[in-house]
Amino acid sequence: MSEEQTNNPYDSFRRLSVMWEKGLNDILLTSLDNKELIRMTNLGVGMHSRYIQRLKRNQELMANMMNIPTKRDVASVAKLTVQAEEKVDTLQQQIWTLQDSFTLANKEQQQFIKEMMEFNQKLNKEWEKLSTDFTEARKLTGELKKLKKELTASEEIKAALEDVKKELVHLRETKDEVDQLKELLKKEKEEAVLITGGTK
Amino acid sequence: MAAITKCKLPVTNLETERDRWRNLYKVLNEPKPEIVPSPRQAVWKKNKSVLWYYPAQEKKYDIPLFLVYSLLNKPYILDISEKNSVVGNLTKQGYEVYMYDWGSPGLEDKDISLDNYLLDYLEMAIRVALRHAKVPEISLVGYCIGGTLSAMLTSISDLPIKNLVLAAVPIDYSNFILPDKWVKAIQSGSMSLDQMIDAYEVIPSEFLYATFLALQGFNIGPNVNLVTRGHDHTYVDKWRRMDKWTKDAVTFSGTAFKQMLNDLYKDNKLVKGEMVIGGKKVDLSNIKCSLLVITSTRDELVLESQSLPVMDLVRSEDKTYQLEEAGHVSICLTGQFAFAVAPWLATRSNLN
Repeated sequence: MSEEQTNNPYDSFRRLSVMWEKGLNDILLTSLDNKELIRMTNLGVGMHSRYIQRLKRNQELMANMMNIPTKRDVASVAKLTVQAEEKVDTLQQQIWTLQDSFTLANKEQQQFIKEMMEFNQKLNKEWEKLSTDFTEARKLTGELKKLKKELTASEEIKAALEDVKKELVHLRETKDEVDQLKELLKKEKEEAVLITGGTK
Repeated sequence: MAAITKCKLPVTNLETERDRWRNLYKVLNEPKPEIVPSPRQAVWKKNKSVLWYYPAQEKKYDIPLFLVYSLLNKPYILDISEKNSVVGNLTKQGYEVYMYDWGSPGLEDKDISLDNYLLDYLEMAIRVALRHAKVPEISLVGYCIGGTLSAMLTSISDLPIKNLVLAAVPIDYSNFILPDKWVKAIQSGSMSLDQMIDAYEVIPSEFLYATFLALQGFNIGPNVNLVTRGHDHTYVDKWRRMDKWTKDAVTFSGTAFKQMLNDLYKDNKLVKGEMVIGGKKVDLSNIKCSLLVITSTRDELVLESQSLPVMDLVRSEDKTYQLEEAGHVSICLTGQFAFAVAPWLATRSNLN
């Protein structure tokens, strides 16, 4: 059994470099993990810092003597712009707060107006209902008046009837009296007959 | 029966070789590629910092994303090229994205502390984003030191953070990538950079670049890869962009740098709950929002053990830990970060 393999020099180069990289990094890590190196670095950082500080001090001194602005002067001016920006931001935040308050107040106002409108509509409906009721009440009053009139008329009839009744009673009494008179007359006639007969 | 391996000599492909050496010549002689950002709009500026807004290609989610990158590098790694842009891929998926660019401080910014960065810059930027997006809540996505700052701010402020994503985030500084004796020397105070920081006032970008290089040791891998894959135009383009970003370091405010070295690297105050920002104690247990922590398998700058403790320190009920097959920088460079956070965010960003 045989396998054919084509060598790609770039692949080999890559694999080899990965191996080398890993190996070198391991060596570097081991060699760096060293207290003496840390101490030396600390010392170097200190020296470098002092050098930079002295350099900056001297630069300022020279610039002062030559009366030319330094980066620090430019920075001071730039800082003013930043401060102005910060003020604008503060103002913007205050505007936002105001906007929010207005929006909230507007919402509340709208809610209030909505409630008022609803109340108005309700009131309107009630009013319409009331006016309908009132019309009906008026109608009823008219009818009542009519009834009252009719009642008055009926009372008059009643009075007339009573008069009639009274007259009837009176007539009946008169009739009774007439009857009684008739009776009396009859009796008188009879008595007269008797008297006449007796005398004869 | 033993296998017989026949080794053939490579057949040189002239076209491949021509492309390889032409590309290498380009890398050595031509100017670095221009990084064209995704369509964006500056929403707010303060000092050197800018808040960028990247509108969604087709808005799908109500909750926008706010990206916070490290203070140590420029954030355009998140928007390095059209195809591999983290920001671009997020906007393609329907997110509105805000990204905060801290800027590179000048001498006038030497007194800016972490307190200022958090309360005067980042908090304000998030408030601006909330107002700009007209939303009640936002998702905060912090990367590297940006993640540390995001976690700190979430724990001390009343900002309406709905989701917090921390990627490659150093929280626990009891151990970091330096050799053991150096870690101990820094923690005991026998190795201090205070004097140097005071002398420089603002840490020069060259210093940060040198530190970045030193931490990587013999990092010949990228150069070897450039030679071996030099014929691949896409790879070379990506390599050139990354090379540009790596060398394009930022300066760092001296006060903030000193505070970071002493409070975090030396005293590990964040994990101990002793860190104070703007007079408020930074207590990570104040974080109650949904949390996603992402680490990368090949991350050689932030160890997994530095990120993991945050899972126990927060009080979030909804918390997820995710391990991605990537490196510290490559997760952003390849745009993988967008696809790593998107599924988790999708269920927590209120589908439009």
